[in-house]
Amino acid sequence: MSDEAVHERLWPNADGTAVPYRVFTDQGVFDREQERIFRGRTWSFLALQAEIPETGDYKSTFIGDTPVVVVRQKDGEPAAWVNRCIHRGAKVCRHNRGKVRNFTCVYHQWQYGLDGKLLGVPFRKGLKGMSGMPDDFDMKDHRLPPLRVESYGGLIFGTFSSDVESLSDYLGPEMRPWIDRVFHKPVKFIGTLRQRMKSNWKLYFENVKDPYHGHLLHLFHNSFNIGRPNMDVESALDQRHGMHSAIVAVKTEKSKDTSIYQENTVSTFQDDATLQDMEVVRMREEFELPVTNQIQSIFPSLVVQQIHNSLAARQIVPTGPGEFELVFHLFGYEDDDDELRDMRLLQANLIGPAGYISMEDGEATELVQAAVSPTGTDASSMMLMGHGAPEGHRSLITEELLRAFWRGYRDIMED
Amino acid sequence: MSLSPRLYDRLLVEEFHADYVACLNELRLDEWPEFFTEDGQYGLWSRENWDADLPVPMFLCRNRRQMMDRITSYREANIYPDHWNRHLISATRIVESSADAIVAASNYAVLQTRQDGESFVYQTGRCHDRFDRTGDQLLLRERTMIYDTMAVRTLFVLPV
Repeated sequence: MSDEAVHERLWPNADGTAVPYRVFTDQGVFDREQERIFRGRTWSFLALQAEIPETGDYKSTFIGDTPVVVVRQKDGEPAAWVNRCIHRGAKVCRHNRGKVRNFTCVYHQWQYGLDGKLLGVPFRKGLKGMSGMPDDFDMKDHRLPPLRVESYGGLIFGTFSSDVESLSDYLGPEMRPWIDRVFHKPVKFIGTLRQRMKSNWKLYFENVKDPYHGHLLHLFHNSFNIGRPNMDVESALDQRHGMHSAIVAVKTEKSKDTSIYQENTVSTFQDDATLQDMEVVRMREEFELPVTNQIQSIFPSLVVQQIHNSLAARQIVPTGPGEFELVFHLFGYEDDDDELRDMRLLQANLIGPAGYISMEDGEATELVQAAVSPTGTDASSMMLMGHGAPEGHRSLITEELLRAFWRGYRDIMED
Repeated sequence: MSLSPRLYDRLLVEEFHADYVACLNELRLDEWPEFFTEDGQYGLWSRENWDADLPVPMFLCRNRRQMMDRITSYREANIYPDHWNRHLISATRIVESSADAIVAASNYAVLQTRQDGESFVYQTGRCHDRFDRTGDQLLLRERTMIYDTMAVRTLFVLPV
């Protein structure tokens, strides 16, 4: 079969309406993603600024499957480097988080500065007249492989690419306002939640671009007959590559001052369950724009979330074709009062692995993975909801954001 | 030979654990909140957050009503893989004891079995319990579960 024929079979439609399930299972595709996407011309989320506030504060994380460390340098700027000793490849930083003056690989005690520069090699000059490293070995020529690091809002990103556009341009004018909204003042990091899925990372990316599934998979609001305020849903799509998007539910003026979440609404069906304690869904207005839900995906590794008063940066870490980890970085603001701080903790019940309105997402991605893995290699999905509809960005019933994502993905992978 | 008060307290707590675990293992979930006082708190924190003094819980109920809501949601709203949890609890230590309260700490493990019939360690950790005591009757005023298994497999739906 010619390359063209293979390509044709893999991607039956160029418009993103059909995605070959092979992209969720194939090791070759996964390897290519590492090269073209995660180590390619993209910016990946590394940390919240607030996670590493002081000099020497660090966090171990990943970009794709590459281990990296992000650390606050002496000049106050974050740096990031590949967490692999240049000597024999051992993991230099062995802890998830901490604070250090410099880093030492335990294998042979090669020492690095916060910026990743090589500072010390034991027995470099030899011992008792015996030779050490060759004379022309100059420590200044060596360092842990650095990443380009830039920040936007309270978010730190890194890239392996030397020629990808600046972070701000990468995010683009359609996405920046939504990040600005959430990061409009200094944030305080309040904790991490981790979830490991036996499914492909892109299934999660699809999930957060899919407003169609919201009320159908997540039955929490409907089952408890919790009234929702009148909402306008809108979606924003980055116009340059179509890979980032935001889905936002905004309360309309009409219902702005009805505190509908504060009391049980009258059940229209007698047998409906009701929440005995509405505190968990009580929301305090804290933003200029009365948004109840904002789910914004920044390709390839970040989802920024505001659900009621629950704020988080969700990081996607792929660990294999059929496995990824989802890491929620929850935060509030530095000036939160006690009540709001408390509300954010209780509202952690809404999201994460035990989230009232999010726990199903992991299961949904695993249902797809389980069905496409054994037999689905030649089959593809069908995403036609709202296809060709001009009003798509104001509708819940649309798969346009997914189609845009897959068109962009195809361009990167097949280019 | 009579038991020392300390051993007696431990037996009381261990008996409580056995009843609690049986309730969950047998999915008698309506009874679960009854192990708590009316305003009792049940919460799970990852070891990672707990050790770093980061306050975010994975799961938190601040009273019995919130516990009941979790159970109703489990039954009516949430979608999850069918599974059974088997709870093991061990090495209970009495930290403090008085006529009307006991503070105790224990280790726990939850083994999970899904529809494929394979069992795996779903969660391990420790629980710190504050009991209200009336005679030999104990009720949880606060149960704080600190789980080591930071990366939660797929999701968490049933209390442990």
